[in-house]
Amino acid sequence: MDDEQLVEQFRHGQLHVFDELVLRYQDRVLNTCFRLIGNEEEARDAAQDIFIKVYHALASFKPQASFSTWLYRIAANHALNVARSRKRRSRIRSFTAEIALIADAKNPHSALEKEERAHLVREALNQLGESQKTIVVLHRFEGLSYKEIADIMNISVSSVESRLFRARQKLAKILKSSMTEYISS
Amino acid sequence: MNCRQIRKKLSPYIDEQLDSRRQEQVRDHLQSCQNCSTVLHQLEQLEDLLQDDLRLQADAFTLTRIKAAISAKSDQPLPVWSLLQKVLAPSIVFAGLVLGVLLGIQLHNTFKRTPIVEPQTHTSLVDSTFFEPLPVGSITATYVSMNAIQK
Repeated sequence: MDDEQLVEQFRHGQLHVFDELVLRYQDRVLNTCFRLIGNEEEARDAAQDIFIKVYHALASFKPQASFSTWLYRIAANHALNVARSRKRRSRIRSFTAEIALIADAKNPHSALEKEERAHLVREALNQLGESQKTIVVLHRFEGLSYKEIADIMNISVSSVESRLFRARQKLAKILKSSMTEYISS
Repeated sequence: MNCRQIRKKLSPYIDEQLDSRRQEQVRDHLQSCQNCSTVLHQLEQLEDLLQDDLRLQADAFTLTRIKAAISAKSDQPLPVWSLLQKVLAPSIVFAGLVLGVLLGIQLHNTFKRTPIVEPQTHTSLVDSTFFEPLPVGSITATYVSMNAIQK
């Protein structure tokens, strides 16, 4: 059964189908939040809040776009809000995710390198503007097409192309210098 | 297409989002242009860096937590009612206070307009001045003395 059929059933009172929608999208929503917020714990809380929001809004959902587009739009907006308030609070980042990588390492050297690399990538992502960061996350990490991203962000496909190109150039520049620093230190 | 136009298409070229004709155009340009090839190479290196990035998994209790939070929220009073409660309670208290003050002013004005009659106090049945010696030559003294003569 596809998403739209599940949504239709939900709107006709079969609330239990919401479980299926959560199971289908929980990892994708969680990872979108994680990339946009940059903190695992807050990303998990945000993902939960997003599904609660979706549950209450689903009854009034008008299927002009697909359910996934609508869900990603809610998720990106919510995660960016959390990221903004997190930035304001300027808390020290949690490295839970990276630490988890080290912990499960059979090959500690490789895991440490991976952890450092993951950390540098996330740091670089946080230096992008909100729009560029969202596009990179949705495309590079969530595998969405340019058209889907354009629908989610209410922009044209050519805007997605040019913003993604600029974001990639900026990321490459940031990562090049941070990798050089890391290797030389 | 010139270099500027080609570079705009490098992202969709890497992601294979161009139609076959465009994909070919970019490929041809890259074969003959060193600068654009360098830019492409940088972007491909970036892709390699992003490849190993960590992916989280939702834990087994995510759905349970979401459902618990939804049912907890449903048990709460309706937002309209809670808003009313928030607004109504202080409004009632405020209205009571205003009413009390107005009533006080009204009562004050009512009592102010009514003339206050001083109660006459009769502390003594006999005037204390009665037993005092009357001033000589006063009307009262003359009257008393005339009465005494007649008796």
